[in-house]
Amino acid sequence: MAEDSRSIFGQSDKPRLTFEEAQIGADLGSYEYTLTQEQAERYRWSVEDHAALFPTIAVKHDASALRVKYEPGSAVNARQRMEFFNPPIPGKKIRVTGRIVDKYIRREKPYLVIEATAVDEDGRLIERTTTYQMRKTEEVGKKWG
Amino acid sequence: MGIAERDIKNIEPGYQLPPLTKHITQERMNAFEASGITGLSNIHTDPEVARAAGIGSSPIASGRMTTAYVSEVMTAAFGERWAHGGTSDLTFLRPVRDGDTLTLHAMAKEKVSEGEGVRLVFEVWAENQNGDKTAVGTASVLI
Repeated sequence: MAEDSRSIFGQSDKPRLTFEEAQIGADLGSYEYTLTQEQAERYRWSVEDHAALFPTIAVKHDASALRVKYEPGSAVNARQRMEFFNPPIPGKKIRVTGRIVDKYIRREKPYLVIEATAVDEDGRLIERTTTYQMRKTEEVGKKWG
Repeated sequence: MGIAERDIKNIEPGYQLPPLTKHITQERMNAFEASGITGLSNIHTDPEVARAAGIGSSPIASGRMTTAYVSEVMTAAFGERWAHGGTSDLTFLRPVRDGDTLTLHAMAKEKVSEGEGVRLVFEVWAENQNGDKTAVGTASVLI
């Protein structure tokens, strides 16, 4: 875990994010962390790809952005879009900004759509990710448990 | 070794990239989660958390692991073109758990004009050991 992110995500006094209270367009703010070589190597081992270019996939910039402001509660990703611009360089600081871009109910299941953009300390755009969180996780167990 | 530059522009719909097979283990799932920055136990690592969330009796792999596998398939074929301008868009259809085997497929679907270039779009999907699709979507590169 990156040292500079530990305090941000470890706080327990944040409001719990509910689907009803989530605001489309809400700014989630930003956070910074330094991608370490150790992180990159652990990621590459986890996906069995020794040349993987984007260890940031596992950092989950969108979900982490949500945690800056909220205790996000349970969710599963129903969909994920990624745009890759430049591979991150271990040792460089990465700044992530996030926002809630949509929310909707489909087949009685609530979804939140979160977008996050990552830029490194040199201003290189790294990636942009958009995830569609399904926030009724018990539906997974009902169908597939 | 990726696809030769002279061949990339000649790729037509129906062209298939070499499939990629991955064996999912809890150890790899744990390492994937530990590569992040929040350091939290979650539905991907902790059976108790998964149970409490109603997901079932065991953790499920993050869908992002499938995104990573798609990235590997596309990087192997297109290298720098994937690193600078690649996109993926996956819908996750069913859970993946410890012990599953996934095979990733990618087949050229269409070419779409984008700015002064062309975006080559692949249909991508992951199948488990039972032949069930666990994720479907697209991946693309500028050519």
